[in-house]
Amino acid sequence: MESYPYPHLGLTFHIALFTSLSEPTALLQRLIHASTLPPTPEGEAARDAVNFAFIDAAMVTSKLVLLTAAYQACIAEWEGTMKTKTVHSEVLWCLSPGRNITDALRYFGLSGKSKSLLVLHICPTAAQDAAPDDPQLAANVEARMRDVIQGQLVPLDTLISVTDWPAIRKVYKLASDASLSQIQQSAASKEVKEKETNEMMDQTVVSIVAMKSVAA
Amino acid sequence: MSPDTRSQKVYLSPPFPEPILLKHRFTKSYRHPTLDAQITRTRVQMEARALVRCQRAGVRVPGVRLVDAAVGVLGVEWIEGASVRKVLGGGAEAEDEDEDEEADVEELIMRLIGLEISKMHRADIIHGDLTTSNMMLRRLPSPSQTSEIVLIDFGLSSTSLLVEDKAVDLYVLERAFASTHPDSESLFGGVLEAYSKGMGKAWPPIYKRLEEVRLRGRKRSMVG
Repeated sequence: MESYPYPHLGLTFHIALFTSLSEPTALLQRLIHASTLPPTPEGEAARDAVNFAFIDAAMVTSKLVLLTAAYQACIAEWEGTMKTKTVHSEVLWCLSPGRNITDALRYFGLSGKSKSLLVLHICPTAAQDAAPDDPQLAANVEARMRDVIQGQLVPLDTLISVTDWPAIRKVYKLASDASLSQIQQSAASKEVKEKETNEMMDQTVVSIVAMKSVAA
Repeated sequence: MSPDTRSQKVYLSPPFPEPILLKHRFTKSYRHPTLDAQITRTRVQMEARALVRCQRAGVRVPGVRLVDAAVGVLGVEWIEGASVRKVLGGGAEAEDEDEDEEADVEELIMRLIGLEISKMHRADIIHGDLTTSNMMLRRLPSPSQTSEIVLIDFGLSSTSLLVEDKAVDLYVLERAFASTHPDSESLFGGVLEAYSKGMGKAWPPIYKRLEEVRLRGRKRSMVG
């Protein structure tokens, strides 16, 4: 897991990548179940245990895209312009190029077919002298993630190998972009072209995510 | 950088290595607050949209990183390098360099500028404030030999299919060259040459219009 503190927000974004996911359907059922529980202490505890943004890692091109979406979600929360109920679901909305919440959850959220999962937790930055059992400490956040997710925690650098590039091209409607055809027409080798195309798609997706709040 | 904005290089999350450029359109006390908020919002919105359109059209521009239209903040990718104006104007410092080599570099820069503008105009995006200060020569990591020109500051940009607007865009740049660089004629000639190649069939009408604009200036005549 990696942690990114944003001092001016007083928040830290914790991100972890899980692969070889077993039983994504069971996890999905658990999320849905937790959200339907009444606001009793037990219900809140069940919700707290799954208080993360669960993102299908195949739909994310880089760490920067996720951090950008999380930052935009925090801005929306700050300004009271969130389109969804929690900052974690807002991250999924921010990742999606469309204006439809169901589509955002379907394309970018956890599904029964997910093979790998990006888990994001946004919480206040733990104080320097926090007690060892402070839930905001990175180690404790990671422990909670491991408890919930049946999969293998891997370094974030491996994200690039689980990204589904054709799906990215489709969902963000990049197919007719001149920036990509320009690379295809260059004289470079096939491998170089593929690498450059993916980098260009990543750069474009970061911009699309960042400017979603003012998109046409 | 336009006078109604303040810019600052920042790191959002300090361990994260990539800096961004924050551009803040601050509140203007001489405007009515409601109007001010709306103008600020639209300008941030227009600039962000133009950047993404350019990026998708293959024009080299900084990527968008953060948009907070309500407070007038736009965050874009930090471009490491110097503005073309500085690179060309640094004659005094560059004296010990080989003159021929320097001329070659200038020629290359002009070609790259022409190419980027042509890509932008092919996508029907008008920059609105093309000057050598609004173009960055990006410093690439050392092994690479190529240079990149990055167009910046799309605060005055618009979209237009009109030959007129494209010609005026070029004319604004020509005037900027003439007022800031010696030997601007041959430099701008290099820009136009690369631009005409990039535009292909669309070039002759734009050239014709550019000559008209040169005679009358940027503003259209309102007489008659």
